[in-house]
Amino acid sequence: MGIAVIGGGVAGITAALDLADSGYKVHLIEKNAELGGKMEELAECQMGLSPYIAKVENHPNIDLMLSSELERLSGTAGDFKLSVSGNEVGVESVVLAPGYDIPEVAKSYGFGSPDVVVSLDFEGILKAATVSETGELVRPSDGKPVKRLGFIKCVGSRCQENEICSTACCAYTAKEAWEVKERYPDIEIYIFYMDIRVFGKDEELVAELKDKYGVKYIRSRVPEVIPEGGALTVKFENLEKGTIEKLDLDMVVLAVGLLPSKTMSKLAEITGVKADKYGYIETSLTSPLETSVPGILACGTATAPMKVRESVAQASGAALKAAGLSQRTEPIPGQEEHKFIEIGDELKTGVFICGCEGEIANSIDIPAVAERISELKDVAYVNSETNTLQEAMDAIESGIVDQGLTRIVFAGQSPRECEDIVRDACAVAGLNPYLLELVNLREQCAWVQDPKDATEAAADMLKMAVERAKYLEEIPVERYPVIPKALVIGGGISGMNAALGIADAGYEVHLVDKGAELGGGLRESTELQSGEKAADILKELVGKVTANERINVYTNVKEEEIEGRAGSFKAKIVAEGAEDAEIEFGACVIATGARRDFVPEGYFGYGKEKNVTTVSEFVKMLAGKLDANTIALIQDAPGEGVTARYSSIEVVDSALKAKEKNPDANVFVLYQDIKTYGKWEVLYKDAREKGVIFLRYDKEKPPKYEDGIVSVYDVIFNDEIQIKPDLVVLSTPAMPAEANERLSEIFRIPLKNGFFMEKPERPKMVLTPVDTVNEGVFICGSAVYPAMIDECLAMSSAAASRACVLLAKDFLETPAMTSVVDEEICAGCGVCEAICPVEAIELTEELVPVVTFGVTTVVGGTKKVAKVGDGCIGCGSCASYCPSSAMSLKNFRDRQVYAQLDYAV
Amino acid sequence: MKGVERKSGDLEGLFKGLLDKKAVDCLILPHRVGNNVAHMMVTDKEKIESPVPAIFAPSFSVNAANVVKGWTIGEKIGIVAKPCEIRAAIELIKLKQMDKESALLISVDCSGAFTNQDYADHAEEIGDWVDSAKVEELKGKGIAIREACEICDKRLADVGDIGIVRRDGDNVTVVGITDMGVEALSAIEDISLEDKDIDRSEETEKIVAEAKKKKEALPEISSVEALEEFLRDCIVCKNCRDMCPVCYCKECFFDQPLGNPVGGDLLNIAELRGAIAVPANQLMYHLTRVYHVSTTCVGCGACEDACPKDIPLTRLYPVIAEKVQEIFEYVPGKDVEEPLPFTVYEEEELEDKLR
Repeated sequence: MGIAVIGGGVAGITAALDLADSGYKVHLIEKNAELGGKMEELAECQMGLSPYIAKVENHPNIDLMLSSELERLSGTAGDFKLSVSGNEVGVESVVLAPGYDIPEVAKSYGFGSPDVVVSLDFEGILKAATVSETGELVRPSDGKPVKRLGFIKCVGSRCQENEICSTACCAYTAKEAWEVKERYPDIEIYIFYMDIRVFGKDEELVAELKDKYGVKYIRSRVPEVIPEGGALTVKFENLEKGTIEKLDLDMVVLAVGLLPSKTMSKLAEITGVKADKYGYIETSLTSPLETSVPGILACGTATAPMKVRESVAQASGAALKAAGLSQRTEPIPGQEEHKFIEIGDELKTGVFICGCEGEIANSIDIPAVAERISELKDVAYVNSETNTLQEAMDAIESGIVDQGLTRIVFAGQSPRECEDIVRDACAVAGLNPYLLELVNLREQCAWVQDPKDATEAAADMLKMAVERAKYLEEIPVERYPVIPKALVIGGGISGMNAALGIADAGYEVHLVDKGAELGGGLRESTELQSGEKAADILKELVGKVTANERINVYTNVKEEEIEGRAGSFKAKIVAEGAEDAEIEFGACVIATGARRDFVPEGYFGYGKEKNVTTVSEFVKMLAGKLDANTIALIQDAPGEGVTARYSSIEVVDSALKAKEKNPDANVFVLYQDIKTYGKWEVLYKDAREKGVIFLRYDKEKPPKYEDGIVSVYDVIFNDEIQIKPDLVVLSTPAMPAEANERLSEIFRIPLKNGFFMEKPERPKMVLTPVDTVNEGVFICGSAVYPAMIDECLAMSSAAASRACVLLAKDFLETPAMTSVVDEEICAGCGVCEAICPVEAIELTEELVPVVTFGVTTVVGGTKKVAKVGDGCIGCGSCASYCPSSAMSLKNFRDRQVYAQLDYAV
Repeated sequence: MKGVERKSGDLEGLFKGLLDKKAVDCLILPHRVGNNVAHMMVTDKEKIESPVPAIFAPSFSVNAANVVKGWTIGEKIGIVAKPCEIRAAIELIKLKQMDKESALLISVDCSGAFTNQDYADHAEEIGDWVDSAKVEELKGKGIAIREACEICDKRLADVGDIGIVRRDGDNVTVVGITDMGVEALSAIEDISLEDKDIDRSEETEKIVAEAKKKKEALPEISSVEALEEFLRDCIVCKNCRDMCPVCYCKECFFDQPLGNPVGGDLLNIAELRGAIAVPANQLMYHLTRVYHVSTTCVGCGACEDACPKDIPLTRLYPVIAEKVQEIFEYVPGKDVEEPLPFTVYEEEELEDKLR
């Protein structure tokens, strides 16, 4: 059987690929005719997502059901029967990823005027502007350049119709504003907001927008937009001055919220999963991926509004849970071993030009190009008949088998989408996959060239490729076995959840923790925001971990001496009171968590004054009797570390609990921004309704505590307010785990503010939030960013899922296009050694005799020579520096590049 | 700062002492050769010229740092040279062409130098030392210092291990800049070091201001066409490379078949293009060299001196190098501990500079 994934947006694609890549049969059901969902509408995201879409479309394990809808579902976990647009599909489990829809926009925002647009449409307008003839951003109504641009946040969220916060808008608005400023520095930008709810990198982006780009953030209630004549007048209440003000703008972008997909209610009816009162699929703080129906998992914006990063983490996590109920039935692509034909010196180049479903054929005269290329020396065969990647692959395979081609030039879409697929086709047909040259005829020619020049340019690009192909080298394909075991570092809730996920998938796990007992940061908590007791959750998890035969637990671990690479690591685990253990593993999950032990010594008299405490201490006090009648909670108290995603939620929740415990108490929350994202917004609303008093202060004028009095300049009342509290509660930043520095060095994964960074992607987006630059290492939980429990659980399931994709493989290939040194030429300057990002180059010394005559006592000098080791990943940094070309990258040798260049001029 | 006072005509004891006390195994320093001045490597202290005013002589023949290339032996060399030469040596040390432990670097104040042929032709008029007034006076007579020296703003002996500072008239202060320098000086019998407080900020300011004026007056090469015209007479003899102290390759790309096609390689390319200029790669050669030396070029002007076709290469190499170095906030040869820009990875850098 297999697994059904419903929804072909970014979450559905992610879940489907994780499953298919680990050998599960996937039925991907999408109601539209194309994959990509909402992300396809975002200019940059489309670029980033396209390789994943191409992979889905060409994946042997994915049954792609486009323009299809789920009509019926029956059965139970392990045996579901689905009726999909008339077809019957049997699966063991289901992943729901129907995504979101945007709200109807009220007329009061001037919606209806062509110059007032929603953010999704603005992305398209911005993209069109950049490629337009003038390159200017113009008003849709009259084509005049935009000089003053406004963004209005929280449109259709945090309002009566939709009381929760849409989470993603603050960050995407900042990103859009940044893009505008980067391209059009002279456009004035005004952003109307209630709270800025961004974390980490996004926090830095907002600061940069304000300070460096001069973007004006205006705190106001959601304003009114009045289109009049040619202008848009924005009428808003300036919360900082308490006045009603007007501002004339040329164009307004409405940052609309994320609502549950319109298909949700029908989907809930068909599947029987419970929806919450807002229409999202109901999940919980401690089981964020499970729906009310066993065997049906949920992920992405169908469960709550969230950003792409959280969506795809949930999707990977849900995939792992779904896999747990299913059986692997399919082979994993790329695992077959191939024998390559001996090609000798024979040069028979085959050129394949793919029409790319019209994308290329419509702007380039392919037959004319083919004719010119066939005249070139050494070109034995030209095929220009194919129109899809699959057709082209069949043609290449038969070209190699039937015509005995020894070089392949393939012209089609970007290598980002097709490289793996084409190399695999060559290998399957028996040709060394590195005797292949790719030409990006779609992105680099068809899409960008003036139609009258496109055919000429295409011919030039192909000529260059044919010339380069002559000099390509056969690079041996070497493989090494994957050790089907994992190491999980950190025994907190994330680490334990990851370990269980990997173990349940059938792999042995080594779980290490520095503490004497498992549990991590959660051991410090008493009660979760959901009312669940931390101790109960821990007891259950620890019980499951210790009872699991596949999990080996190591406590009191001081350090792990680790070496190796993805698929094949070795470690010595050094623990106190135990013998050193030598282990081997193929993948590692880092779940070191965050530290909350920052002592705000000296701040607000903490340490000296008995009644000054921290939120973590206050939460414990709430479990007992609370005497305080006046409590001041201070959010964003200074200190080292980062603001956790739970920071506001924890403050508001404990304020609310204090108020519930002692309804007569005066509870004040002093804050800069209340960041109760998503459904937590309800907590904030509830706190205000129950009488918690919120006072907003400015970063420049922080509150003071002197002689028992907290004084704060409230920017809404525009006055100084004094409070005489019995208790001052400081919300302190979270700090990275001490082990991070060491692990960062071992695995060469960069840190940001002490926390692990995910693998960077171009264009900048987060589609693989738990993957790192080290292919065999995955990160999750508060080791990445201090997060709520539901996020930690989703992320750690995701990290486990990604680790399992790796562990499911029997072999990994060693990187083929690696660097090589010509020792005769190497001058031993060692710059390559310093540049190498993976420390794969070592400068060795050898003795050389001094050969001159004379009485010199000098017998010999040392010659330094660079040597490339196993770790080389083929990035080419060393080769690009080396001034004498002593260092070169296989298949990017000077000769190959020069040959290509010479045909360009 | 530790140092000792000397008269300019009374320095040979210092150098003899360094050899005598085995502070170094050999010394390279300028000597008089007839009317001219050339670098000499000395191992026998008796062969040191007496007196040694030639160390201040404003003549530039080759950059002394060239001897550093291939100095992969453990023996220690003392280099007495102009600041640009010492700075080049420091770059070569960073490029691992020599261990720092094997070099005692002694910089000597410079107020600009003449080409060695100009110097030889007018040795008497120029003398052993010129100050800025003398430079102007000679210029009036048509005897000008090298263009590289005119635009140089790093002429003071403040780099290396030891600095030989020319004070007013005849007075010289020898200062230890690094621990190695202080140690070497202390080893010499008749020297007792005293604390020296040398403030040369005013002097530096003046030099920088003057050099800046001269730099701004240089004609700019502002387009590819202008560059082609500038290099019109180049015969790709590669003398500029051979004399460049920071060109350190064992086998230059332009001596390899792709960079210097001859025979069949040449004919192949000619067939492909229909025609090829001979010698080939004229523009490519210089562009590649500019790129290769742009972070390490010390602006010594040896390239221009070496050009048999009198191409004013100072207007190309040091001028572009300075712009690149500005971007990286890097001053080549200032400090042996300062890493080469290429070897430093910053996650975010240069954004404001490249915009």
